[in-house]
Amino acid sequence: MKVITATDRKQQKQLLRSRKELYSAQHTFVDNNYYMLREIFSGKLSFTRGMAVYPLIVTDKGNVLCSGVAAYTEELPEYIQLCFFESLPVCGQAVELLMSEVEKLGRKHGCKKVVVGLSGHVNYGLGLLDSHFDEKNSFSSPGNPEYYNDYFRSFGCEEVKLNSYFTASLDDRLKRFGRLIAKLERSYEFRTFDRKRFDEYSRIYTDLNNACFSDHRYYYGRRYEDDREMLKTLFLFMKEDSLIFAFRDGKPVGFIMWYPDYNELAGAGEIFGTKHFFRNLFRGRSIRTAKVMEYGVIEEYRSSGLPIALISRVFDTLKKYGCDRVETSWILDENEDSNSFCKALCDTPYKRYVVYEKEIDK
Amino acid sequence: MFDRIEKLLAEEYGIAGLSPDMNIKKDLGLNSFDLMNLMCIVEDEFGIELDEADFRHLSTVGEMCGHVEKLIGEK
Repeated sequence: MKVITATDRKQQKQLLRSRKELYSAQHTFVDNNYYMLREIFSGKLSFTRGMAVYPLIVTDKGNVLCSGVAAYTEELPEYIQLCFFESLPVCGQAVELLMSEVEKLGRKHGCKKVVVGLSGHVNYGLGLLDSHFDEKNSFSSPGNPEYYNDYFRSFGCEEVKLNSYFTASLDDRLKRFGRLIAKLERSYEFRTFDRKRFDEYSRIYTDLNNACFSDHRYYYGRRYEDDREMLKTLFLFMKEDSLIFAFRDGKPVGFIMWYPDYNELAGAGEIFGTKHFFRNLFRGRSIRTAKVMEYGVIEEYRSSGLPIALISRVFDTLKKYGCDRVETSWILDENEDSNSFCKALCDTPYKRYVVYEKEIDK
Repeated sequence: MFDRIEKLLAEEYGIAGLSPDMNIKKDLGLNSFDLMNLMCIVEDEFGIELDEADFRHLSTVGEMCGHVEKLIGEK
């Protein structure tokens, strides 16, 4: 058994192939990261510029037992990340070997901890699934078997908990805040993303992200080119009304991003890609669940209740798409404001996710 | 004032058996967004403008009634 840093194309293809076989055999989850990984390996992605990236595979007799990508950025100097982790079952020894290699890389960069489940930046994903292992993952949400967690728990990792929320009764819940929404509608101006002014609106999105989330765990500043690149990809599927901004006196003060759960167009075990683009063109209206990806309001406007008006705007929009259920993206347990917001609007907490942190021995 | 506030809370949130010493958040079970919504309802009902920060700091129903009465008096 050996750990290999997959630096050449052949080894990287081996990593991708093993991943494809794993998803196909598990037949539960959709792989939303396959093409992103290919892009990362190509070195063309903006967001990995300046980031040290180490694709890793652990093999035995030529077979890949587990894989992942170790990543280090000076923006998050305390951590070496183990991203995009995948493994066959009953491979504890292989995962241990992988973690040892990641720790070694962490020492080289002067890191204090390995963080498992962070996909380079929180905007690309956070956490391993820790409940509902028999359900297909929603678009861009983690999907993994339960035994992934057993590996990291066996190392005595510290756990950072997250969860999502679900509701099928948003309409009724929003009615409770009717007067507040009416007042906010009078006080703020709401605009959807304008693709004709792509760069300008993409910059607004970046500035709001950096203003709203700079004090959140694992977040580090986004560059304009990173979000431009991410939004260009998302807008292959998304419509302009998936990204809504709130303005006060002409100044952007908040935003919300949502989209239909495109994984409803994919079969379990599939790699999400080009064919789903076409399925979305022809069958996009059949999607029933809307996914609220993120929302943010800059600090001085948070006490106004603005998130309620943003979600109300989303609700008015998603009805047009035929969606009648809403799932949120992950929310850190420690984020009291967002949890309180979701509890006010959703039926119940839904899926649990977990991020693992392991101290690096000197 | 108390009677009018009691009526509003009953109509909007179905809250009955109100007393002045009740805590707005804990005893009435209102979250921060309910509180903002209640503020809008009170503004509409009494034709006054409330400050968000001041309203958030009111802890009991009695304090809320007193605050609203004071603002009506200043009109």
